[in-house]
Amino acid sequence: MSASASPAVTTIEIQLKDGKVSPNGDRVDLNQGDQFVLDITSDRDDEVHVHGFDKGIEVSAGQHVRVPMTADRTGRFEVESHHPELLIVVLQIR
Amino acid sequence: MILPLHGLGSRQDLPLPFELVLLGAALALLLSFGALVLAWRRPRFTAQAGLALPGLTRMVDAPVTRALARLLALALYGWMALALWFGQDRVTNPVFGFVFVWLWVGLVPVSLLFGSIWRLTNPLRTLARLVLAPRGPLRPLSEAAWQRVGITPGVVTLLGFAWLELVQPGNNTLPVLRWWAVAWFVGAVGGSLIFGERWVSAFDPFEVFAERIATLSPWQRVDGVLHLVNPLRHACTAPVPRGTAAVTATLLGITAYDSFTNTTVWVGWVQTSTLPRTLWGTLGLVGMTVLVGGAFALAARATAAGWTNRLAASLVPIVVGYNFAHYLSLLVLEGQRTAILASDPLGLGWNVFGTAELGVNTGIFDYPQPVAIIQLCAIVLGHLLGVLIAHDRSLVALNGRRVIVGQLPMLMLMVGYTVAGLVLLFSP
Repeated sequence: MSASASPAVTTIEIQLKDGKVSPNGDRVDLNQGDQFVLDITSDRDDEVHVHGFDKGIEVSAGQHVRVPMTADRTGRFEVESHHPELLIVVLQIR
Repeated sequence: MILPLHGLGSRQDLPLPFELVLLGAALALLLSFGALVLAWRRPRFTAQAGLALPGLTRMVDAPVTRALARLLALALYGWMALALWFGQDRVTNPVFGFVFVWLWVGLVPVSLLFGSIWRLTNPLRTLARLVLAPRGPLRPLSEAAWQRVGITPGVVTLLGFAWLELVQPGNNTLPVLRWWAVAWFVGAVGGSLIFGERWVSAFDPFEVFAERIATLSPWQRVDGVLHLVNPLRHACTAPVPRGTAAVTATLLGITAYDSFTNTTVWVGWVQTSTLPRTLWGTLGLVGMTVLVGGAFALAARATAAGWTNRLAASLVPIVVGYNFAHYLSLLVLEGQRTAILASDPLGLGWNVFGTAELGVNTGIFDYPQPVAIIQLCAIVLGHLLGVLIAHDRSLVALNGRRVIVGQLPMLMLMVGYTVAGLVLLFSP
């Protein structure tokens, strides 16, 4: 899966490390229709869940995964990890 | 917000745009000082008055109407109790939406529109009456004792419910909710068995909340007859039981804490700390309530001694405006979802009310700008009504002394609340 050729692709780098998450609840502003990529590196088995899109991304310890998505709906969407439950970023799509 | 319906993939409102925060703050200031300088010089709302409605009173007081209303309410709670005790422990169980959206959020518009309907139909009271029918209360309280109790137990139970909604881990699971439901039920009905039916109005957090909001409704009983009244007059002339200020401050504090948990500051603190989340949550909830209540107590004391409870009426519109802004989308979306799920309380594939196959209309998300403006209007209007009530009550409290300067503490408090509320909705 490669990132789209569109110039406006936002990459959100997510690190799941030592039982914590980075970013730690930051806001990410996007416009409706934008492409974005969740670039996830993890040192543990976990699931990254994107609310509102009902998307669950399983990651295993030591894995690095890039998930392209399209901001096709407006609103505020929390992206969080499950083990432990922590808020990673909040997508604000206008 | 730790929404119990998290797992449904809930989509939330965008935060208020910053320009609207500034606009709201400016309007709040302008309206406050405008009211101070231009509004009436003598108190207007000292007596109860309005349009008498004897026909409506007869209809509402008819035993048949009352029995029917209570039966319907009891049936609704009973239906959801089925879901709670015999339903599936999944996020598709309607009881979660029932408790956290229909009851907790819904009681605000219901009480605003229909007055004391919650008290009339409260199933806890219906059940308390049944339990008390044979022998009456074991240790009935005197009128003087009830005056001392007022609604102060409501502060504890409101905080308890808020803790369940915002802090309790696993509040989207049936076992947790069952324990709390039992505690609520036993506390209310058990307490009634001991002290009398009046205990329900002191203890039940939903009724305590609803009754405060109902003081802003246009329906007021004057000498037993329902009257159509000016809501401001209603708020100024409604009875003020002991604990009113504490309860109103708690209501504001709860919503403030709820909003605060959405900020990056809070999330950062909690997530990088080694302290357990539950501890953070408890401290935050109690702390926010103490902050809000403490500020109010200071402002009330600075206005006139002994007026804390009576001035609390001015906070009710602010509670309503802020709750409306904060929970509007939730009510519209999860309210619909609960209505859909209510057709199948046990998760067996039923469709009792014919709603099980419907989808939630998420149209509200297509209009973020109008929603933001509506939220702003709710807050500014709540602020304006609060200022007018504070103005009238302060005129009585100040009794001609230092009329302009004496109103400044309350005014500054309310501007402070409104600006803080706007900033929280901007969710930095």
